[in-house]
Amino acid sequence: MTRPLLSRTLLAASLAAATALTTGQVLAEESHLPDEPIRFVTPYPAGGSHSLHAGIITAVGEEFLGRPLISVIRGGGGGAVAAAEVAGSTPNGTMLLFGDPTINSLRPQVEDLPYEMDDFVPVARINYSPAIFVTTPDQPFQSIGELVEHAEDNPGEVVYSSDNRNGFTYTVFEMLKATADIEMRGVELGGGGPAVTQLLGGNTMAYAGDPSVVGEHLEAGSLVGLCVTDTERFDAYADIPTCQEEGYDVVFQFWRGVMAPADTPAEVVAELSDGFQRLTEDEGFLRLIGQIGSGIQFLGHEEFAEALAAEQAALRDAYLDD
Amino acid sequence: MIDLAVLQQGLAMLASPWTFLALSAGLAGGILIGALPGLTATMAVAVLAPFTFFMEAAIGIPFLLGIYKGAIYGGSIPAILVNTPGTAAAAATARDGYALTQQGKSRKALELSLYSSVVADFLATLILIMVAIPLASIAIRFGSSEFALLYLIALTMIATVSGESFLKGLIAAGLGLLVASIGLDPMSGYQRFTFGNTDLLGGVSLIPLLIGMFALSEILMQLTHPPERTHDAGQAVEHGGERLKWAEFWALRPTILRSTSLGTFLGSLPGLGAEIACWIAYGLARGRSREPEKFGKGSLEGLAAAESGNNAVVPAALIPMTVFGIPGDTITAVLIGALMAQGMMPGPLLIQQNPGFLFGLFLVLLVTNVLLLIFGLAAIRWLKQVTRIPPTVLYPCVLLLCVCGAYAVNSSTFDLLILVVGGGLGYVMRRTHFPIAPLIIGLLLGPGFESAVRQSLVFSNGSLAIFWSRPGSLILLILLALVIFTMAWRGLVKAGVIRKRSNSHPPKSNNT
Amino acid sequence: MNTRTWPGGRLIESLLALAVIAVGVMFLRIVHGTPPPFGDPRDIGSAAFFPGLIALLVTGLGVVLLLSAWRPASSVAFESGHTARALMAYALMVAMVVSIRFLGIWLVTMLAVPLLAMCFGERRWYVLLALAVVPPALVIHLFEGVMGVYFPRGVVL
Repeated sequence: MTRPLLSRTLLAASLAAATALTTGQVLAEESHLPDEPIRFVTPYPAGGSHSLHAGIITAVGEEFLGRPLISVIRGGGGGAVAAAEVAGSTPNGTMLLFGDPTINSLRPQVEDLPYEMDDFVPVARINYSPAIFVTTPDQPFQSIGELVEHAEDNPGEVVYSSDNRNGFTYTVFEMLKATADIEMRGVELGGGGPAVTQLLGGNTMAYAGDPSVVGEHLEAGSLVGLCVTDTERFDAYADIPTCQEEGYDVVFQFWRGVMAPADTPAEVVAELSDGFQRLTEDEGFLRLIGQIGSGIQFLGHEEFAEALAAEQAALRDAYLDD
Repeated sequence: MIDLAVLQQGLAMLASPWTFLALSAGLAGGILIGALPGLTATMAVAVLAPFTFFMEAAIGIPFLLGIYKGAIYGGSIPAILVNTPGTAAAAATARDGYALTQQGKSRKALELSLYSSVVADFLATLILIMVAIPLASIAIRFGSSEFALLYLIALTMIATVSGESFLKGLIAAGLGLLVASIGLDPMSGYQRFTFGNTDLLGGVSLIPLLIGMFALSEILMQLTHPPERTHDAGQAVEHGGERLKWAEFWALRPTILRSTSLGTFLGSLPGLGAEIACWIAYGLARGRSREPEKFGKGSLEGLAAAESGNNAVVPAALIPMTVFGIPGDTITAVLIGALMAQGMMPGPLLIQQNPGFLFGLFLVLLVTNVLLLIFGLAAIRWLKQVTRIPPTVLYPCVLLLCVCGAYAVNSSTFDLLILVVGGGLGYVMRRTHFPIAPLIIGLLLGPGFESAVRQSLVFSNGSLAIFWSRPGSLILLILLALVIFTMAWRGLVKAGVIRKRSNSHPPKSNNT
Repeated sequence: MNTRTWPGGRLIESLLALAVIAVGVMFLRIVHGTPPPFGDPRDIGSAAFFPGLIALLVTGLGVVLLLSAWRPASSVAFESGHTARALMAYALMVAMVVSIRFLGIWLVTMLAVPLLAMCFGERRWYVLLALAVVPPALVIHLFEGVMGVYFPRGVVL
C-alpha cells in the first residue's frame, strides 16, 4: 500500500537486469510483528554513509522481514532527535533506529540527552568500520609514534580535524590523547568532508576517519595512514598497522546496527534479528553493499547485546574515570 | 592534455541514447521535484541514488546529474509564480520574480530566470572543464578564518535587502540569527535555547520555516488584500504578459557575468552553497545597479543576478569533488556515494584512471543545459497559465503542497508547527513592513558564521590575529572594509539628499 | 490597491518594539543565567558569546525602534485590510497542523483544502468537493509514491 511506486518499478527492473536475487524465505505464518510497515529511521541528514546503507536495506528488506520497510531520514542534534523519537515510539517493532556507537553508547553517558542508553534494545549489527589515523606527507611525523613524540615536544601545537563533539573522530582522538598522555587541539568541523578538506589544505595536521572517506586519498598518496583503530589490520590497506601494534591501545569500531525501543517483546526482537540475518546473507544484498565500499560483519541480537554492553562499559571507563 | 582516445570515449558516452534518455528523465523529474516546495535537490538525489547502483554508470550518473540541475532550476518556478521558493536557494529569486508576476509579467520573469540559469550554468561548466584544477587548489587553502570573513561579507547584504527601514532590517536579521542559534551546538555539545523540547535539539528546521514565512504568509496576505479584479487589465495577466525581449536580456549581460563568476567562485569553496551565493550576487548587483531602488519591486537585474548566482554554484560544486574527491555540498556527497557504487571514486584517481568517463560527464553537463532550455521553454508555455487559476483553487493547493513539503523534509509533525509559526510571523512582519529577507539571511548564514569564527579561534589558540595574519584573510578583510565603506558612504549621501530629489543619483563610486 | 491607513500606527509599532525587546531580554537572561548554561558569554570562543551578542543587539535595536516610533516627526502608517479573514485562515492552518497527528493526512487535507477555498469566497459545492478529493489524492500519492515520504495516518484514514 505504502511501498514507493517508483522504487518498486525501478527495483524490479534493475533486479531483473542484474543477477536474480535468491528468493528469500517469506516469514513463517506465526509472525509477531504487527501488520504494518516498519519505519527504518536514519538519524542523520541525507547524504552520509548511514543513509546510503539505509537506502539499500530498505530497498531490499521487505522480502526478508515480511513487512515493507520505509526509510525515514530524520536528522538533527547529531542523531539525538531521531533517537529520542524512536525511544518514545510504540515498542512493537514498527519503528527501528539505525544506530551507531555515538548515539547508543557514548553520548547518552556523557551528555544530557532526552533519551537513555537503556531506552534501546539491540536487534542486529549490520557492519562496522574502524577509523584510520591519517596525516599529509609534508607533516613532520609519518607514523603514529612520531605523531605522539611531536605532540610531546610541542604540547598543544598539533591541530587536528575533528567532526562533532563526541563524534567518531572526536572520540578516537580523545582515546589517543588519554592513552599516550599528550595534548593536541581538535577543531570540530562538523563532518568528514570539511575535515579532510582542511587537512589537505594544510590548515590542520591530522585526522582519523572512516576508510570510505580517507581511502582514496591513501591510494593516491595525498594522505598517509598512521594506524587503524581495530584489533586487526584493514584488508584493503594492509600496510597500515593497528594502533595496538604500535603500542597505543586505541580500539574503536564504528558499527551500524538496528536498535528497537526497550520494551519491544523478545520474540519480536528475535524475529527481526533473524530477518536481518537472512538479509545480510543474501547475495544480491551483499553485492550492493560491496558496491558502496562496505562489508557485512553481522551480529545477531544476543551477540550484539554482549558486544554493546562491553563497548558501553569501556567508554564509561575511558570517559568518566579520568 | 585531452588526447583523442579520451575525446572519443567521452563522445561515445554522450551518443548513447540511454544516457540521453536517463538525463532527460532526470531533468524533467528534477524540475518537478524542485518546483514542489520542501522537496529539495538533496533529498531527491539521496532517495534515488540507491537505485542507480543497479544501473550502468553512463546511465545512472547522468540521471542523478539531471535531477540535481533540474531541481535547482525548478525551485525558481513557484518562487516566481506564487512567492513560494521551492528551495532555500530560490529565496532571493522570489523577491523580484514574484513582484514581476504581480505586475502581470510572469512570463517575462520565468523566461529571464530560465535564460540566466542556463547561461550561468553553461559558463560555470566551461570554467569547471578548463580551470578546475587551479581553482580547486586555491579553494582548498581556504581555512575557517577566510570562511568567517566571507560569511561576514554575505551578512552585510542585509543592508541591501532591508527595503525602506534599515532599523527593521537589522532587527529582522538579529531575530534570524537568534533563531539560528537554537539547537545542539556541535562544537561544545550544549543544548542552546531548546526549552527542554526534544525536537528543537536539531534546531529550527530551515525549509519549513522558509516555506511558512513566504508561502503561508502570502496566502494570508492574499486574503487580507484580495487583488482587485479589473477586467481590462485581466487580458494581459491571463497570458502571463509579454515575452522577454532580446534587448532586455542583452542589457543584463554584465549582471549575469558578474553573478556567474561570483557563484562559480563561491561554489568551488567546499561547504558554501547556492543559498549564500544567491544573496551575495543579489546584493552585489544592487550595489552596481543604476536603479537600485527597483530591487525588490520587480527588477530584471535582481532576478537575473539571483538566478545566475545560484545556478553557477551547481557545476562549481563539482570542482572540489572531481579534483579532490571532497564533497562541495550535501548533494555532491551523495553523488560521490553514487560514483563509488559504480566503482569510481571521484578525485585525483578518477582523473588519471578514467579521464574518458570524466570528460563524458562534463559533456553531459553541457548538454544538460541545452535540454534544460528546451524543457524550460516547454514548461513555461504551461506555467504562465498558473496565473489564470482562480485564487480560490490556487491557494488551497499551495497550502496543501506546503504542508506536504514541510513534512517531507524531516518526516516530522513538529516541522509543521514551525511551518505555521513561520507563516504567522511572516504575516505579521509583512503587515508591519518588517522585511523578511534579512531574517532569512540571518537564519541561513548564522550557524556557518558562528562556527567558522569559533573554529578559527581554535586554530589560532584564541588569538584574533588569525583574521589578518593570513594572506587570504587579509584580502577578504580589506574587501569587507571596502564593502562597508561603500555602503556607509552611499547611505550618507542618500541621507544628505532630500528624499524628493534623490531621483538624481550620485555618481557611481569607483570601488567595489 | 487598498491604501487606507490604520489609525494607531504608533501604538502597533510600540507593541512590536516591546515584543522585540521581550525576545531579546529572554535570550539574554538565558545566556547570562547562573551558572551560565553555555559557557562564559564574554569569551568569544564559547557557545554563549554569539547568542549573547545578538540578543544584546536585538534588545538595543528594539529600544531604538520604540523611541523612534514616538519621535514627533515619525509617520507610521499601516494599510488596513480584511484582517479578520486572514486570522480565520490562520486559525484553520493551526488547527490543521495540530490535528494531523490524530486525524491523519487524508482527513486533514480533505477538510483544510476546501475550507481554505471557502475563506477565499468559493461557495459552489461541486468545486469544493473536487478540491477536497483531487488535489489531496494527487499530491499525497505523488509524495508517497515517488519520494517515499510516509505521512502520518489517523484513526479513520
